[in-house]
Amino acid sequence: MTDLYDACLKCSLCELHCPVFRAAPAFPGPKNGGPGLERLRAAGRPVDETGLDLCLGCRTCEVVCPAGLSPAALIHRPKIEKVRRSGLPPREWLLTHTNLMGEVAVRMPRLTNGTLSFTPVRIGMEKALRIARRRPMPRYASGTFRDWFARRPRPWHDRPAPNGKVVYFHGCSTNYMLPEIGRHTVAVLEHNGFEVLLPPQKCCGLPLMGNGELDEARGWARYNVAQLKPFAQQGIPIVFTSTSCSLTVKREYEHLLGIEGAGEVAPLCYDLFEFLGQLHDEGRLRTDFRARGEEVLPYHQPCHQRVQGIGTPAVRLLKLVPGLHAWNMDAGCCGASGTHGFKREKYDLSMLVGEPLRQAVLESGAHRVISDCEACRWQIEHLTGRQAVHPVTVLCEAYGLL
Amino acid sequence: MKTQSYDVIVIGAGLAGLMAALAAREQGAEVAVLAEGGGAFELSSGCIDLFGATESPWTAMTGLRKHPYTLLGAAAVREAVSAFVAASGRMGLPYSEPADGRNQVTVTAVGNLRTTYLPAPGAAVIRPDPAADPGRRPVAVIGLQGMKEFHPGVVAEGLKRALPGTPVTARWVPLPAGTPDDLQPVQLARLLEEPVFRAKLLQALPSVPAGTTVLMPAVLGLDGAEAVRADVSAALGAPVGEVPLLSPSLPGLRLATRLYRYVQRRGVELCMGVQAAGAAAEGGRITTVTGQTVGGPVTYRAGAVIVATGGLLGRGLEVRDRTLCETVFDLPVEQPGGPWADADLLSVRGHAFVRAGVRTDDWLRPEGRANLYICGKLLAGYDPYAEGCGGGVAIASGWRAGGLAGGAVR
Repeated sequence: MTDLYDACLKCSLCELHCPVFRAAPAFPGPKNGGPGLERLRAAGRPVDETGLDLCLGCRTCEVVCPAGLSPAALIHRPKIEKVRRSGLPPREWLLTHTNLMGEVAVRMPRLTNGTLSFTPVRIGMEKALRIARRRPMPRYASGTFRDWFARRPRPWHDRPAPNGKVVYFHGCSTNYMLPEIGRHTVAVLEHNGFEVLLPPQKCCGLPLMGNGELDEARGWARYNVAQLKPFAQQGIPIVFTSTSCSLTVKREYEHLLGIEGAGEVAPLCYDLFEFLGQLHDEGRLRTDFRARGEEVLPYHQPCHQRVQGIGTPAVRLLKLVPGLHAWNMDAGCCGASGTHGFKREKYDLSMLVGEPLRQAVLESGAHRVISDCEACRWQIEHLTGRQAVHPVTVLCEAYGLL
Repeated sequence: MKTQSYDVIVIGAGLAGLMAALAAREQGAEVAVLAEGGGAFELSSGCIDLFGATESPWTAMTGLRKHPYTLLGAAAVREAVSAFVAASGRMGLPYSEPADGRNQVTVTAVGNLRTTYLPAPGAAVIRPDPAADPGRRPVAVIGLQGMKEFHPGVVAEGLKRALPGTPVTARWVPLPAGTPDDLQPVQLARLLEEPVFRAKLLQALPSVPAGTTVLMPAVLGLDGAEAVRADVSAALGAPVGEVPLLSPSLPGLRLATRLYRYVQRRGVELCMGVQAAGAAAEGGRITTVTGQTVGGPVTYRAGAVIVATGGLLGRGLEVRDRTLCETVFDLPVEQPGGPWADADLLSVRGHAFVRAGVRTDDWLRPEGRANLYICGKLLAGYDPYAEGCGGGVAIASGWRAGGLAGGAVR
């Protein structure tokens, strides 16, 4: 797909829709920075790559391109080349190894969280590592989701679950920072008669890929594919609660990293709500929701979900709950884009990009917002001061499982 | 196999597809829009043309033959236009229908006059008829210095020819100091939504005599355009009207943004990034549509399917072996009768290939298809460019297709 740069008609729709282009004049934009530079490279001309690094990787350009190009993938190439030559800088290494940090942090969450929210420490981090001090750090949990899962009694240990098995790919944030999302997911799936399987898994690798490090990401991806493939071959669905992880495993493992076997895994990968929606269509989803008050529940669709072609399954499902009025605000990218929002030089841009979303949330009058992506939720909370929750938490409440 | 079920599936997220989705939703149907990408909103001026460069589109469309408007009938077209206007008000981007049912006159970026039925909100509308404007209201064209898309002198010269006797002046206003060079319209529009930048620009604006018609380039804000326009008008002392620029256009973007939000607020599910790739049928009825997504193929079950994939530009049609083919269902396509194109590129008669498309019955269904409806540019028998009816046909056929499909599945 990305090699067809010559298919670009220069219609400029990508520039018009790019959340970074409109906010940052220093960014050459998806048209000139993507297929434009690729044309020059192909002709062996010198290429000015200044400002390309401002791309958030939201893939809006890919959604709107009438020629079916992915300007974002083309923009990303020089970064990959640079990291291949000289490796990840220290800050990028730190931000992309959440799994390694997490293993240590969850053993001493108070110390970690205290340290990471201590202003002098953040000033130091900003000076030494260029990590934005105004960006709140996600808080580590006391104990991982996997530890909780391993210790709990298994409901279907002596007989098969009525609806069969589901593999859960939880991702790093659920494991180390938001284990409640994992617990809620397990509760919802078990409530619907599924046995939840938790094969060993590493970080999906998206933060690494986003920062240009593909070789290490390939190692993690091969590991994950090896773990997931046996289940895919048995036709066991694999569900995700993090949209960036699901996009990575569904598409980038095969398309960007070229991992063997990834193509067999992808068709079994579901966003959790995509999976629950399919269950509902088949008449297999329980709808024994508890009576509750009225609530308007604006939904923010993560960019990495929009590009997946699955619509807004969380909205569709939560509309089944009496009293809940969910809708997709469609107010654009939140601006955080994973590790980008933590970088000092990108902090202001991330807030500027998120401005339309901030206004939409405040105008909705809702006291909380739902979104499937943890980075979006952190950004929404930072932008608006409103609570942002994963839709599975709301579903769990509706079932009375909390 | 991944599956999803809806009452009505709309393929294509342009103006026709979204109007179809709204109409089907109004009937109480569960509706999903599957689309590879967005529509052509941003390639248009944001104005909705109904018919012709004539005074009354309603009169002009009565003499048509084998045109989508004749299939639909004037009453259905009127109903659909009213539905669009009402929806535009609810989405916070109010288009207004002319009370006398006549086309209105807007200005292009080279100062030509251009008729349209529903000007984009905020677009400059002028009255070229001296009888309607006895006072000869003066026109002031204001350009923003550094913008290469809009030259006030060019617009003024064009207007002087088009409106003989009307005093037209042109002037440049400098952008605030420190504004980056060579900004694109979308960048300038976003900057104008920043209070500090806007305040600086407002200070630079001249005040004009009351009663002046002021024209400025269509960069006055993105989603917050109404507030930007109000501030600019207040600073000028006269209401400002925008002149649409070359595509991609901000008035088109504003409509797309609001319409996408609105259909979702009404409960339509928007599935971007889906390439509709085929269908299964039983006894003349489509039962499922297959779509390609990044997570593999998905089978969509639906009671009715609306095809709003567009013509050649939207890739609802493609050329295979010198034949125009419909891309999703391989529906029969009415081919151009003679030469595909006129020798004159900008021929006022248009080009024959533009009129190619799928023929339908009065219910917008291709022959032998009980629950498949066609709307928008995929329909045969019209030329939106030569006839000036693209927006009108999209709205009218979309609204009708959605109403029929939504009604049929209830």
